[in-house]
Amino acid sequence: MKAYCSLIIFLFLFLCVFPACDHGLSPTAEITGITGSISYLNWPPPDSLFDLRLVVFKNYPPDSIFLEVLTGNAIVYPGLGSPGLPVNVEMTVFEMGLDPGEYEYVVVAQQFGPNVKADWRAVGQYDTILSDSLPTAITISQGKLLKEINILVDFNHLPPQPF
Amino acid sequence: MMNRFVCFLTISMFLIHPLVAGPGVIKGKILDGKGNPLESANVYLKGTVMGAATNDQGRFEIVNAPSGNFILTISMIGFQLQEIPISVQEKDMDLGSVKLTAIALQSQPIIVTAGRQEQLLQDVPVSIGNVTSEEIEYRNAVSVNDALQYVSGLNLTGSQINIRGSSGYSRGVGSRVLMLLDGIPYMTGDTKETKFESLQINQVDRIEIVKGAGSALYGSSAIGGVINVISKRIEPAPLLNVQLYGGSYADAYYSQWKWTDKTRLLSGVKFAYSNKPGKIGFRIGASHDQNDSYKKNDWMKRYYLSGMLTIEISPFQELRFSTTYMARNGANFLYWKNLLNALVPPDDQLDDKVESQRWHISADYRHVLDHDRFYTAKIIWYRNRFDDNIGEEENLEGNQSVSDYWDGEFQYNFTLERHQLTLGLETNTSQVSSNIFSDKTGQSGALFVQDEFKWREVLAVIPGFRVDYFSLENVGNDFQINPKIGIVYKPWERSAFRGSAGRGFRAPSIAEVFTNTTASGLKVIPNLALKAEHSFSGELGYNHFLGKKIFFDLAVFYNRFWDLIEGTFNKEANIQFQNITNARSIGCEMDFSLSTWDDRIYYNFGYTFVDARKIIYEKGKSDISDYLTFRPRHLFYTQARFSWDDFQIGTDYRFISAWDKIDENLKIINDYDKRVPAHILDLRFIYSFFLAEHSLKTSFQINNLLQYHYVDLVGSIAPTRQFVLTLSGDF
Repeated sequence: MKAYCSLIIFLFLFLCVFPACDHGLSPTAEITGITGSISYLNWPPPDSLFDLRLVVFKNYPPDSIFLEVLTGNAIVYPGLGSPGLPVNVEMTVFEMGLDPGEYEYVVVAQQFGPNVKADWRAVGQYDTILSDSLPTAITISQGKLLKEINILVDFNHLPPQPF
Repeated sequence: MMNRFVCFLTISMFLIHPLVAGPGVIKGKILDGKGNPLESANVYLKGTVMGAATNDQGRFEIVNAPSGNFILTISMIGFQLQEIPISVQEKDMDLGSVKLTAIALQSQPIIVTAGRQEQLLQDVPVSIGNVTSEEIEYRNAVSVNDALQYVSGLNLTGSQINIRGSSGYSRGVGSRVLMLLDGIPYMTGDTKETKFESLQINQVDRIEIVKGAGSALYGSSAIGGVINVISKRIEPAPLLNVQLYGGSYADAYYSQWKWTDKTRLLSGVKFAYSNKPGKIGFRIGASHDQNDSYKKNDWMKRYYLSGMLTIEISPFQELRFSTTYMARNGANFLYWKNLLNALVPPDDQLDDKVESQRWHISADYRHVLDHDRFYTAKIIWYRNRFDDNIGEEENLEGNQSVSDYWDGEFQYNFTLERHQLTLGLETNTSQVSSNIFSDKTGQSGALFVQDEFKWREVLAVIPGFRVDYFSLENVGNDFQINPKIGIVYKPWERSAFRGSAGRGFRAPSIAEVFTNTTASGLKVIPNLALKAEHSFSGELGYNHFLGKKIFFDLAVFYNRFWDLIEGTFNKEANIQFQNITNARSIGCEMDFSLSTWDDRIYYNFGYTFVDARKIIYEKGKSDISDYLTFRPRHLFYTQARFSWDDFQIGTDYRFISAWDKIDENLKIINDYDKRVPAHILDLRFIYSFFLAEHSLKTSFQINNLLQYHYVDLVGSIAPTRQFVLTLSGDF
């Protein structure tokens, strides 16, 4: 009886810890989101480059970037606690996690003045249909990384300004 | 501050009767059924404040016992409580050897928190958790929160405690669990948070946890439960306790997370010396902990000094003073850079540091008037100071705060036929001087009453209520009435049904009302309209000691919350604490313990299910909505121990399901939503031995043996595998 109880206890413990053998969270956890590149032309003077972010909006046209981010209707890359996209480069590659769903507007946004709430403008949008000025919407599925989200930013030819 | 303390002492001294010297010494030896000495058995002279605990040879001594006829009570978990009538004369009384009868693995521990008086576990109408000093020692807990994380129904988010889904995570501000030190509130004056690390763990006798709203006896903050840290008694014989530990962290399982080639170490030394040569007892202690941490910019150094003085004014009166000073200096890891750099903070946080000091002085006076009446008076001063450099790189000054918390209470207990009554008054003051919380003062006063009415031999009804009045500078006054009722029904020997219902509340902290700061371009602004959050809690439970070796406890519970305070964005996109959430949590809990093979094998598990959801009101109707943030739905903790003579091997396994919902405001953190369920396996080997008649113990512990990685906070990986070697001894 004693040995039987002991055996049951240790078998039970073994079964409990079995799920722990996969080491849990990993640095290569499957990302749901988008990946692609941002190419740049005609960089503006450095004193107008306060910040540069990739912003993905659920709706188009959006309200101000700041409010949309705060209300959860827009996601920025890199995250707000981190430095922005690199500047004065020809191209940047990005990989961005997103919740599954539809997003109507993917845009590179520049903060051109000191007011973090208001001084933003669109400088390049994801657009695969160049015959109109509307951005191209994307749909993200669970566990899928949507590739080839490539954006051209030409600071001399800015896209429509929805905010 | 000091003036108030001197005033209290003066009043205390007026209350004190002339010193009554007791003539007798009661001594003896407590043994188990096989004649082995029992260590840490409690021996108590009923109707007095006098008692002792047995040493490692089972011996006890109560000095200065008064003349007369008394009942000597001997209790120890696992053994039948024994009461011996004795007649104390003017000479030493040696009881010789007293054998206790083993009755069950877990006989009923005595609980003092649930009803503000001593009660057996089965006489308490709410669910109780109990962490003994043996368990603290067994698990090599470095601080109080280390010891709490194995209690069923509890889990820690960062260092913030969550009991049965009552609390999420709010960077510690506004805890919904009230922490007590020896029965008196021990919360910071500015943020009203629990700072478990500010107490020296080797001075703790036990920790009691009330798993439900305790506001009807303890007031604000006890909306989700109460944790009472009870200090060790000072025994008559001189005792030097020394503990040394050292260890290291293993590299994370994934090489991508390796950020240094240096071994990350942790170490510490603790000592305490106590003695009670006559009527005066004292204990002094000091300790130091150092931790390099497995994360970059997360190191910590901590120092403690502590003291306790007990004065046995007479066999019926005791005055006790205690103090602890803690200084902590460390880096401040807020969250990771991203999942690929999970053990490294963002570049702009690499130099974040925090210095803090915490200091308390408390006094506690107890007077037993006769077998049926006693009163206590307690006062505490608790200072919390911190100073960080967060935001300095943005040309902002860091955050500083100094808060003083004063609490004083008077409690009178008496028995009237079948009624055991508790009456009390409490008052407290919080004073804050801070560049983020501003310079403010808050005050409160309260009256509480409880009646434990033994209606039948098998049935007790325990009604009670508490009235709280509180005021906050520039905000105004408010008051709360919190009633409760509890029922305990014991139809069979060693079985008890319990039921309880009560109201709870939490007044907003000074930090929640007045915080005014800017960080990362976001502004946090005050909210002078913030009001208290409140709750209703109900529980039904049943527990049973089956045979001599099995104990189980079942409980179902329901909590309803109104006006929960959360930090959120207002229309101007500024962060503000607001009363925005109504919610309910519903769940069940089961505890099971088994001992077999002559107690060589001990097994225990606890499972808790909590479904905590928001409630949304629309068009006059209420709807159950999304999950509350940072509440795991499933907690499963289990442990097994095997003992053979002086060796012991033990293992703990904990499963904590992943949070269903996290705070969306934390999207500023890269990969903020990456989380998995937690599976944590710890393994321990312990060897106890005697060296020149001194009791020594060495243990080797491996925490997170399987190198399982999970987040214990958004963007914060929980500790990697850890090896710790400990040596402790009593001299």
